[in-house]
Amino acid sequence: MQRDEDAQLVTRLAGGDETALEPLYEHYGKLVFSLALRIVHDSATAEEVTQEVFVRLWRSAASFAAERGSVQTWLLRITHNLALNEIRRRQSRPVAADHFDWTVEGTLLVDSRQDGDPALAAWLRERAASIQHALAQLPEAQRKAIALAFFGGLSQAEVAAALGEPLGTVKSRIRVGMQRLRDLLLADGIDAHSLEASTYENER
Amino acid sequence: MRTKDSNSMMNELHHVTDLLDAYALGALEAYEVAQVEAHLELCPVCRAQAEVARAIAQQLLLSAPLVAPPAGLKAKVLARVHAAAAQDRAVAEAVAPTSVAANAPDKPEVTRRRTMLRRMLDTMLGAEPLNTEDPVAALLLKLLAEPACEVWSVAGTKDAPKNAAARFVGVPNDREGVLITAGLRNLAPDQAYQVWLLHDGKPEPNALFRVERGGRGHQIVQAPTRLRDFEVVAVTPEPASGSPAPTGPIVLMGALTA
Ligand SMILES: [Zn+2]
Repeated sequence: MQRDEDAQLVTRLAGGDETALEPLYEHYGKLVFSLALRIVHDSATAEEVTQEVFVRLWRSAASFAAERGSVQTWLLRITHNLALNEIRRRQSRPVAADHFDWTVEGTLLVDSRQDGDPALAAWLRERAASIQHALAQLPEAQRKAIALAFFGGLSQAEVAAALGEPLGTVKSRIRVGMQRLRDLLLADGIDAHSLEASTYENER
Repeated sequence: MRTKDSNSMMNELHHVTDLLDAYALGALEAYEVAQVEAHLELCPVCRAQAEVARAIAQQLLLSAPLVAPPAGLKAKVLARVHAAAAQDRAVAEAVAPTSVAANAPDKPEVTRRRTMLRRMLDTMLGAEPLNTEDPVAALLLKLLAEPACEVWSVAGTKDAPKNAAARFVGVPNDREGVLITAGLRNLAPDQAYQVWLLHDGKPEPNALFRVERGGRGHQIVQAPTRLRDFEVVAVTPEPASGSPAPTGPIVLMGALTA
């Protein structure tokens, strides 16, 4: 199982075995890079973030191995944090640039040739498609407010300012949009009540 | 949504339901985050809803379209981790090397020193690998290994950028120290930063240095007598050849208290 394999790799990392990093990069490098790119909108910066994420993984391996959490969940959270830090540091918030269309670009950009673990890669593609599908069913205004907050690192007030909408409108779009996403994901068979259920390992 | 139980109407009115989605997305203001977190400590109803919102947000992290990274990235990642590993080993060997061999867990003081040293090396080097032959790195590793070593905080003043800060590392009974800075402004080519050590309130001129990207700089400071004879370390911008007395505004200052 993926989880056991990852856990063994992290245990090796924790013991100072650097060679365990390459298989972990094979499994998750693309996922980390893709999320970083989604947030920073720049390939060179996304590469920087990816490097930093794996250095963090190396240095946190000991405490991480003890917690026995999911590597994928942990990597995504760290990537999200570091990528948002990066855009805040540069203060070049990609507000206007966030005209991202999941439905189109999502499928076009997928490249399955470099995947280290075909089963994991297939699962990730399927899961990404499923989330993208749910997002695509939201009204544009709700999707945009959620994306600006979550991938742009903006507060609700900043989202309102960026869109030129009243704060109350933005707040309700975020609430209604999130509720709708929850319903769609539940209907799609994803157990939104359990964080761990959203990872590859637990679904197999 | 609302359950009628032993909770009073007053408590129900204070549920934070309306804030939980924005909380999960990280879109609340700081005062709202404090409000939500204080409430979550007490309220299992909101806690359960917050957990669901967090799960949705976690799902959103998977929504990024999968893009193949540039071919060279794997090698860069492995090289960065290799450099970090080498640095960690150098740090572990420098500070209390005997405890590395022993199976006993490190003493908190050893862990603290190693963490400090690693952070300073990270600040000093950025993404560059550690070169233990480098005189500043070598001195830093040597100093942090001394039980009597002090790490003094040196703060940015109102004349420095907001995130300017530094550490000054040295053994009070010795003359050598290392100053590591971050967040300083880049100076014009005809200027340099100058270190001052204050004795009885009088600044004595010391080393000159320049900063790189991110305002990062590092400089060996050789004091004329023991470091404990000085009360304060300060930094000013000066002409590139240095000044006998400070002419620029103080940008960094820290007390050398024991
Ligand atoms: Zn509540």
